[in-house]
Amino acid sequence: MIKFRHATKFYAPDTYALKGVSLHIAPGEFVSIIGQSGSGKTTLVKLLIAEERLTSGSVIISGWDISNIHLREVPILRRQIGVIFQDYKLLPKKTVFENIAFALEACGASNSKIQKIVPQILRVVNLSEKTDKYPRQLSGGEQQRVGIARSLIHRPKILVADEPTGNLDLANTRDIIDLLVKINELGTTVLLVSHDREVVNMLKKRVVALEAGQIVSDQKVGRYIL
Amino acid sequence: MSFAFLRALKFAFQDFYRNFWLSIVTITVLILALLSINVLVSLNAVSEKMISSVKDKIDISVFFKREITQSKIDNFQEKIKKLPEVKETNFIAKNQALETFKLIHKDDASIMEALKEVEKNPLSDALIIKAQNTDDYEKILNILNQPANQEIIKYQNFTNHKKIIERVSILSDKVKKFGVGLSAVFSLIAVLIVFNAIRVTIYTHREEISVMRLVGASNSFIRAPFLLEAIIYSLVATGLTIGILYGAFTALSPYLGTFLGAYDFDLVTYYNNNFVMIFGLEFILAMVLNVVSSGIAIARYLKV
Repeated sequence: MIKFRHATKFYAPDTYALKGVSLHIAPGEFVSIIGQSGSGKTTLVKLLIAEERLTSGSVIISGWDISNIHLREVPILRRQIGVIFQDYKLLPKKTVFENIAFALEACGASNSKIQKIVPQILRVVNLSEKTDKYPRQLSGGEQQRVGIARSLIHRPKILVADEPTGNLDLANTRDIIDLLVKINELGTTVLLVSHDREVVNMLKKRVVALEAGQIVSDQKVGRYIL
Repeated sequence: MSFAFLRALKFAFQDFYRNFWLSIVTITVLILALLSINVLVSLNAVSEKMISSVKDKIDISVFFKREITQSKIDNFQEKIKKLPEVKETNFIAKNQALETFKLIHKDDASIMEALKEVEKNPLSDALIIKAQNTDDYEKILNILNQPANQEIIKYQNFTNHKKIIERVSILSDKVKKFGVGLSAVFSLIAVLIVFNAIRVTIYTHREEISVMRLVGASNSFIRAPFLLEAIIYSLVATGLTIGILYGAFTALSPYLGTFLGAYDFDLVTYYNNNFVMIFGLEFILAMVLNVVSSGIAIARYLKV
């Protein structure tokens, strides 16, 4: 499903964010990527959604080599990968409904399809009551659930969560992780980037540890060992 | 296409009223720029009218020798009329001239007394010649000075106006050059202010633009509502500028009337006659400027 082959990302003058990383993630897997700040976790996510380009090596997603993806193809790639961000990245001047609908509108979905699908996904993330609220009127946990709803609206095969619980309290963290597990159980490949020991240990899933841009451990049922 | 357009239009209007104060600030800047350009347009119109009024007062008066017959005068008038430099001619018979003279000086006893003393009409038949351009008077005078014409002409008075014409020509050239220079400076300032205002507007949207990119929106999908919003800004700003200008003209018309009364010039009429040209052009300029500024400003944030 996702293959990194000798992936290297170099920032001039002398920083390697990733150094020859090779990683294979199978369909339906739940993989936690752990590591301290500056270990290259976020770079890995940015490479997956073509926010950054590799210096050398390759990234292949469902058979598609996106290492030299054309700028015009980037939106197509991003519609196939759901991404959840630590800072939610919601559109502040759009309501909950509109934020989720935007991802569908961007790929030309019809109004009737939007009116049908958005309420469904809002029910999944338990936000049906907040449809017309603006992001500033929601708690952090609610905002992150809007982010998850938006990332799922295309029914992506891959969901990438970059520190999704970084700004949340324990109760909200559990809610979000439960939701990610549920999404994974429905067949979506989930890539969780986190430096939260509790979260990773609670999951009991595959854990890949990064340090200074290199993989230092890859355990099938791992714990936070750094 | 129309579906995508309607969606972009919806986003444009949504953004317009959800960022109401930002929209108001942008439109205010646009209105100020348009108003300053219109002040210039008005000043140009007034100065042109003043110059053309002065030019209109310039003419050559040809007085014929008393013994010249009417048919010769008619032939002469026809010949002069046909000259390409001549705009119009007006024949004034000596009797008519006398009546006018009497009417003007009816209260001046000494002049009236002198007329009685003379008994005969002392005035001559006259032909008033107006040229197409002030430069043409020189050519017409040369023709009048030809011996064949001098045979029937007693005298022509033009020399008195020669200096005025020269001055008016120089003044009108200077006013035009100054107008063009001032317009260029004003336009440049307006362009820079509007460009900057739009850049600030887009800058406040930079996070949103990058989020839109990250959730899979194409560049054209992101750009279209901003460009449409720029057109809405231009449309609203032009509409409000029209309202403000006409309001100002109505409020100022008594003062303008006093100032321009002698020139038979009304700014409202001028704007009414040139409405589509002036405001159409201003709208197109504002729109092109807005759209280009937006396009340039957005491009910076689309690289995510």
